[in-house]
Amino acid sequence: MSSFIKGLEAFRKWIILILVLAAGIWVWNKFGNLPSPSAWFKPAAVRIDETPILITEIKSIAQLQTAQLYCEVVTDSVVMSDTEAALEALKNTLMLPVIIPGKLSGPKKIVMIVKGKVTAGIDLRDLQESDLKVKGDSVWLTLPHARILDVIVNPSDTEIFMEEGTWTSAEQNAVKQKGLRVMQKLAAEKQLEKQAEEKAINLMKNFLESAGFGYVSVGF
Amino acid sequence: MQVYNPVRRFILALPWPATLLAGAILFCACGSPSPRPSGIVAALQQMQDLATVEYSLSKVVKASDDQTWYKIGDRKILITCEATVKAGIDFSQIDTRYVSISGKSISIQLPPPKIISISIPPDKIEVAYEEIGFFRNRFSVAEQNALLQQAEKQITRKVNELNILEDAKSNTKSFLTGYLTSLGFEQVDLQFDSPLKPKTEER
Repeated sequence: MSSFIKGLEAFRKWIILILVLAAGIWVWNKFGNLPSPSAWFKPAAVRIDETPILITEIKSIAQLQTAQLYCEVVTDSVVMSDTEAALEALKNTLMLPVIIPGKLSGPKKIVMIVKGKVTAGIDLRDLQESDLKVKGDSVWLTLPHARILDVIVNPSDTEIFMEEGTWTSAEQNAVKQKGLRVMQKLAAEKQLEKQAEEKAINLMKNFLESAGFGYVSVGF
Repeated sequence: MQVYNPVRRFILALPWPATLLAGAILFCACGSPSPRPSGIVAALQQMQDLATVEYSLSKVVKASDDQTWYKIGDRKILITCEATVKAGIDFSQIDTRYVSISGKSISIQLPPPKIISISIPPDKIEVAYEEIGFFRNRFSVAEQNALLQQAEKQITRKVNELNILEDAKSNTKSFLTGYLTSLGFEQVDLQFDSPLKPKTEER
């Protein structure tokens, strides 16, 4: 009987100790001195090392960039696994209505939100001597046609909305290229090159007028 | 008198609610349609930059995931990427206020050079090496992208330490000198260093 009472007392001591500890943690947490338990299991952020940047090429250019299209497109891809592809082939060969459970065969899926910039303008390196005629204070300039100069999609412009399975660099690139093609198509629809040409005419006119020419004619 | 129909009896004996539920689950599992997103947002904007230099850069992105105390095993990754940086001037800032002409001589105060664009093309990004511990998963696309975002920040931060703006200055001078010479000017004076302040036209 006495051993039972002793055990009960020991149990009571433990309970008090646990309660004191819990109260202590609560007070500490309340005053912000202890990270929340959820933070204890938060994975540490992976930081990249500071590595040097190597210059591989320096090029002289003369691009008059005059129009830009900001795009945000959603691009996705679904790739069947080997098992799924084999079952699909079997289904087609046997002409049987074989049902392939998606979750079992595991196709990989990815959905990205890609933001990018399509830049159009004139490559002034294409200007020929014959494109410029000067007579007194009059000047006639024929510019080369505008074209898409850059389609920029950087990692900071890319958001991975959903991904399932393992994606190689080439496969990731293929998904992004799909987004880039949509952007280029959009630029064509919005007549970006035409807008770039209109702006280029204004800029060159202003420049030539600033250079003191009384009559300025700029065209394509 | 009711005739015994084994088919009817079989149909009536079926546990219908359970059968329907199983059928619905099977339908959902088999037919799980993949999302077909198609959202597109676009905004057009005018620019007025004259890009005169282009730098091609390369960088190795190196990361080790070994700091999470409760994860067993490490992960290491090496990604190679290339970037293109363009620099030049704001061409619209060259106007009569900053140009002085005297006979066949022209003097222009040019706007300061600036970085026009930084591009890290997706096709120039490649995972060169990956080492994954037995109990760890491979780096996901989102994780790789997060590492590349850090690399992009490093490139953006360090780009001014390269000589690109000085090259932009000399290339702009060289291009405009040639252009103004072909317009008939015999003496061309282009200045970058003095702050932009309007000049009086002398012609």
